[in-house]
Amino acid sequence: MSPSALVAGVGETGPARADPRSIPEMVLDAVERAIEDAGIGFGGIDAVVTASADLLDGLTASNVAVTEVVGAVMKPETRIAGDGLCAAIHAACQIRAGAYRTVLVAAHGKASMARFWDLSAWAMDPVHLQPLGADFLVCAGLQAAALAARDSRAEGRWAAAASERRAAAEPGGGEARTPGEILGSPPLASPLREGMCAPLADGACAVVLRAVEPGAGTGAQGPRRPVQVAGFGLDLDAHSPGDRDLAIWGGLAGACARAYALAGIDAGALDLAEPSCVFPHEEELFARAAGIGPRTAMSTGGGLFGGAVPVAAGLSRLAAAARALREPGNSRWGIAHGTWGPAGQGQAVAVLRAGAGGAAA
Amino acid sequence: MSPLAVSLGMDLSWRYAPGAAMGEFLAGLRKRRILALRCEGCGRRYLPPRPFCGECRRRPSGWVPVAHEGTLEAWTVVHQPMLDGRTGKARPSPYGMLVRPDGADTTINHLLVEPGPVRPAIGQRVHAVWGETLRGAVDDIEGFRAMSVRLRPFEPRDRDAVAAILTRHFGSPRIVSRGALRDGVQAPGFVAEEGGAPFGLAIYVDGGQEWELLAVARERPAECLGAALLDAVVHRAISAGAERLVATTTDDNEPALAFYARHGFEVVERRAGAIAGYRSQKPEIPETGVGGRPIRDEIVLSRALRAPARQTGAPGRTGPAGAPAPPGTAGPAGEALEGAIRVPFRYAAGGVSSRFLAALRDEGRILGARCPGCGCVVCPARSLCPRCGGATAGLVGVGPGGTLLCATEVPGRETFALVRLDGAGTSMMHHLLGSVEEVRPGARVRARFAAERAGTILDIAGFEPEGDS
Repeated sequence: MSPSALVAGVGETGPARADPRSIPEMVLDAVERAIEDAGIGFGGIDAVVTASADLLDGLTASNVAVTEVVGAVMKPETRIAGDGLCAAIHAACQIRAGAYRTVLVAAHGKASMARFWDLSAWAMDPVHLQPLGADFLVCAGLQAAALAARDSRAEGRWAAAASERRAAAEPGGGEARTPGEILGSPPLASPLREGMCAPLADGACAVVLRAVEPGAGTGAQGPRRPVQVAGFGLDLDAHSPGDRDLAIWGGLAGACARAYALAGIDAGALDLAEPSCVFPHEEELFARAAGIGPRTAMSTGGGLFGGAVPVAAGLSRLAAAARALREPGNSRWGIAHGTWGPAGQGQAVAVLRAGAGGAAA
Repeated sequence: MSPLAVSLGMDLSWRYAPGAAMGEFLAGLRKRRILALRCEGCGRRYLPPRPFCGECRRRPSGWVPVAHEGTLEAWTVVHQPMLDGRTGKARPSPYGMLVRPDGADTTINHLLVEPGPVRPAIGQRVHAVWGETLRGAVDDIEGFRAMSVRLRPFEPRDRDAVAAILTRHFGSPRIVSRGALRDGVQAPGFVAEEGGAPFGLAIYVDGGQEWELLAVARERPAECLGAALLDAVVHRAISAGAERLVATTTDDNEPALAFYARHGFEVVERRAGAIAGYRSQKPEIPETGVGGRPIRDEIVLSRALRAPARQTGAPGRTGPAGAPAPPGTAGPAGEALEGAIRVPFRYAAGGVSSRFLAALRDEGRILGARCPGCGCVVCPARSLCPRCGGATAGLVGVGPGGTLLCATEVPGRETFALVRLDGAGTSMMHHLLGSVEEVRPGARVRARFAAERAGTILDIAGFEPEGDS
């Protein structure tokens, strides 16, 4: 049997509207927290997987800017130009393959550097979509419009959901608003309103994954329960929103099916879910595609409404789920989600399991 | 039909937070100082500074000024004009180089200024050429220039030459400052020589924490020589642990006052009428000096030699504030640097998409591509079917009428829509020529073609409710 990946340590800067630090300084902060949380030093890291986006950083080969602060000088480093959860999944694959025993995963994003939606236009098809001025915001608006066209109560429900998430995120820096205030907030991309959008933010997140051999104990650290990456899945849908059914996240359904099969569970087993959703309609799409029912607690800390950090969001969801699961309690299974591209084109999930025993990826 | 390409001009801008380490470095440049960051673990002095030592994996914290001159470690000539991402225009300087300033353990990547007829050589001495105005940006240093002049410490064999230079500039080798008379030939210092002949000097007094610059002089103009000589003394003083460097001049000598001000000295004392008293010790002091002005007062200036130690990596100010800085510059440490990229691109549309675009332009027709695998008609026509991944084969006309699936209004921009054209199996994103309040999902719409067409997706002006045209 292959070793499985234990979430040995997590560290985050915490999202900030405009972090005055440089990207390397932010990433260093997150990495130092994660390796301290894991109870190791830089010397204990065998390999590094980073996630960054050149377009967002305004820098080609954006991982080169963080090589030193992730301790990757003279070490194997792999870079993922996508959501940070993909980097964690890549690291888990490296551990399962037996390539490395301890892998550091780091992701960062700095939305304050530029107008994020404007930048996203450059990730669109250059022949058919870019000349129109289409960007990720337009695609989110079209997706919400496609859903609202079949559901007259959608907007009210989204306002209530965004209000609930904002309230839950308030201790972490979120900004509370009532559903009425959200429905009265300026239009962003109809039917989406500004109050429905999670605040874009700066931040870095780091996670240490460590190999646990089958039968070699649980890897428990003190009173914490061990949390393992029990399953994962990735999927890419068609790029152009016109080629997809915008009313579903089809790619996510495929990713979840793979993750659940690896973990040996079905969605009903999940105790908690941490989706990467910037808009409330995305959370509905997530719940439907992942098969999340009412028994699963979703985004209990407000999800991305405390601050949506591009690229780092999915890894921060994994960190949030791992932190919740490792505390003593009854929660056993959790799912973390990351997405990238227009209207949820790219989808990634990781299923986490707390405690010893059971199937593990 | 020849393949088409889509021209798009990428025009993006970002605000880069330099962070604590880079912010301190840039603030130093604005004061004409090149600061390196020393790792307390391994002692390496990083230039430019970095927040983390990759060698011993700890945060460097000690700021040390390094010299404005150094050694050329590597260089290259770039014959291809370099695109300046900030302006979108070609940059002229064709030489790039790695310089290791004296006192740094890493190299800084910069440009070579006016290389002249002789090519630079690895190991050659170079010195920084500073811009007229310092903004706190890496191009405050315009580049580095090769030095034919060599600076070295005094040796006994230099005494005659030093005495001659001092006599020509100060009437004799004897120097009076702050009431003390000294023999300049006996003072330690540096000489500048070219071809073995000294023609410039800087001499000083090692006073422990406070060093005194007795004289800086040169026999003929040589760009930045005064700065280089001063620099040599500054770095000797810093290495010896001095905290400040004092210099004196006289009230007539405006060029000297400007020189010291440019190099970080501040006037700390004006000894009114002191020179009259000094003439009793040194009768060679003339009555008038620069520009025929009378010499009366002694001016004492001082420069701090130690940069304050700062912890890097900690959050500073909570956000950029004030007016935006000019491109590529930083305000006080922690403020963002503006950066932009303006680059034109031409995307090859490929075979099937070229035919789709050409049909829009030449015939006012919208083409779909049929997938033989799943039967889907893909619109806009493309070479691959997004449904099954198969290659499409055969083009068919679709639309121009269709059904609106959904639309979104983004304030200040066009209204975007997905339209399922009659005969197509996928939807096309385009602009809706109408309000989302009036044109509801399910409504019939029709493509309106642009009056002037160029072979792009914008040859369709948008979709309007059927019956409007």
